[in-house]
Amino acid sequence: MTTALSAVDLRKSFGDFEAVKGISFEVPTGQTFSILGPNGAGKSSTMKMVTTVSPVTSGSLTVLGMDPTTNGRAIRARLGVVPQEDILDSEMTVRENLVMYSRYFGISWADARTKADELLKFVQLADRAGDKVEPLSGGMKRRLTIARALVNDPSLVLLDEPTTGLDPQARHLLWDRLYQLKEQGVSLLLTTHYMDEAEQLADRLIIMDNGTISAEGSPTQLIAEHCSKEVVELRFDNRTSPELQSVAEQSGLRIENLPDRTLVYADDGDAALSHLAEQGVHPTGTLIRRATLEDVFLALTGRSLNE
Amino acid sequence: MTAVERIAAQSAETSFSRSGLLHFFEYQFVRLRTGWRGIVVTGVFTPVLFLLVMGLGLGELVDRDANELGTSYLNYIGPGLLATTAMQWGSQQALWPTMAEIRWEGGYKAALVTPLTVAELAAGHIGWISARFFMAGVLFSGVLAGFGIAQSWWFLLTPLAATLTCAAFAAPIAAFTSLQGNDHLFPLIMRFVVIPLLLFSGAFFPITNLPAVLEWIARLTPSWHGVELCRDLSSGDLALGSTALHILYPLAFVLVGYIGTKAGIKKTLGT
Ligand SMILES: Nc1ncnc2c1ncn2[C@@H]1O[C@H](COP(=O)(O)OP(=O)(O)OP(=O)(O)O)[C@@H](O)[C@H]1O
Ligand SMILES: [Mg+2]
Repeated sequence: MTTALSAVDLRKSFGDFEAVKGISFEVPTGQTFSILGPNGAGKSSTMKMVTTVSPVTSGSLTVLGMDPTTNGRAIRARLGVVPQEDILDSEMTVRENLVMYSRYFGISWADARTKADELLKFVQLADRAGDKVEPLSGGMKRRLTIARALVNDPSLVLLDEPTTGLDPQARHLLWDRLYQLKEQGVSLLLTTHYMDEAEQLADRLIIMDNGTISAEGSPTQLIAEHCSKEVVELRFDNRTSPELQSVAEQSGLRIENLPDRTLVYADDGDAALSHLAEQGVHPTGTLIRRATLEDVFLALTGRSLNE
Repeated sequence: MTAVERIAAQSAETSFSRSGLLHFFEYQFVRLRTGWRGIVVTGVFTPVLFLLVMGLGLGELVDRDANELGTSYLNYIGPGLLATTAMQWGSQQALWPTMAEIRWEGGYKAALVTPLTVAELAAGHIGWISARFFMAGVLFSGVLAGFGIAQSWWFLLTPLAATLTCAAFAAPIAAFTSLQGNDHLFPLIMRFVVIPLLLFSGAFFPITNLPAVLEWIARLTPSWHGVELCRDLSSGDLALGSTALHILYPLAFVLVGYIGTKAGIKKTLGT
């Protein structure tokens, strides 16, 4: 298997502050790799090093088999970059944004125009081709940014929080497009705050916190390793249950107290719930659900991802 | 090989390619849109206004008793106005619009994740400011010629000479801007650098009329060299030594400014 991207003990400092503290990971060609982490984890800092724009402080980084320090131009020619903020050109129309960006890659005018029309169809913006960028909705701008990242048929696409701030419908449309790219054999590296996004899209992921990797694996692997199969959410009138703590300790159940609810980790949620009831724990509300990466993150760091 | 593969195959060390610069210009040309208005206003409206008021109006007074300028006041200030307009254009464009590209709108951030390099971006940026002034300069020279100011075939080169003045201001000021986090200092640059230079670069009166200290300061500004160069080309009264100096001195400002802009963009966008 070839490697689209590999990082070994990769570090990034801004002055005295170390934003990325020696991370190692590998993205096999054709796979989707996700970096999941809260604000300030170092996701964008990592991405920017991969784009070759931000110099590596130390460690090694290989992108598409090349060294970003010496082969920046060649790497960027084969990269598609969707930055965290949409930076589209408001002086140009939707279509011109794609055509003119293609020119930076040395793509001929004729090919650039064909490609632009094709990509506008792909992201469902064909009917807005001649419009200015400004009046587009957030989701449309995001889609246009993604289309722009694809003008050069990239081998590796970097997406920095592609769906943050989008409504569910827009997110699903984007996910669908990313699936299609993956099917075409494109390698994807995507950062996200959303565990469902990582679960949906990623073959493998790292959970990043404070510049370090706290876990790595496939979504199912991570859940299996760091969590139970199911999670029982309990709510109590007076917010907590004094009995629960001791009952859980006696029966060996792992629990996590959140401000508004308590989580109980169990492979069989129903069984755990009836066991608790027998022991005199009576919550006012209960919910049994499948464990998610959010639970993994909570288990690893004691914090919730989106707080 | 596809175009993309060709770029990918280019040696890593080429931080500068002609096609990169060309693509940058194409891109900017397409987004020029309303920018044409500024070019026409600067190239036509400005000279007509100034030549009527100062060249003819004020000139009438100056020329009443044979002046010491060796030519009519109109002929004297015409080329000087061209050079100082170039200075103003280059300076202004290197402030707010440059900040917009680098920080506020992020266009250059998007450009830097394509094969374009920082070197091409810096050169393209200064080059594009200058190229637009050149278009204004051609119109401006046309107006000067219309007023009968051209006295030599060398006059045809005045738009180029003025474009050099434009770049000599645009490049160092763009270097300054690329390192700024906001535009707080920009009005000061206009008020305390550009406006004084407009008055003291010899466009309106010979700098020998200035106190000695100011005269020497004036000689160190690229704008004075620009004014002199445009005036000499207009009159056809060219001396090799001084002409070379009037070209090379501002060129040094362009070069230093380009290196600074490159470093500034790298520092601001490539950390
Ligand atoms: N250019 C910079 N100069 C100084 N510090 C920086 C710079 N860029 C990022 N940082 C710091 O590095 C840390 C990591 O930032 P980064 O943008 O990589 O986080 P992130 O994981 O992308 O967060 P978010 O989810 O909010 O986008 C933060 O503390 C941030 O303040
Ligand atoms: Mg980020």
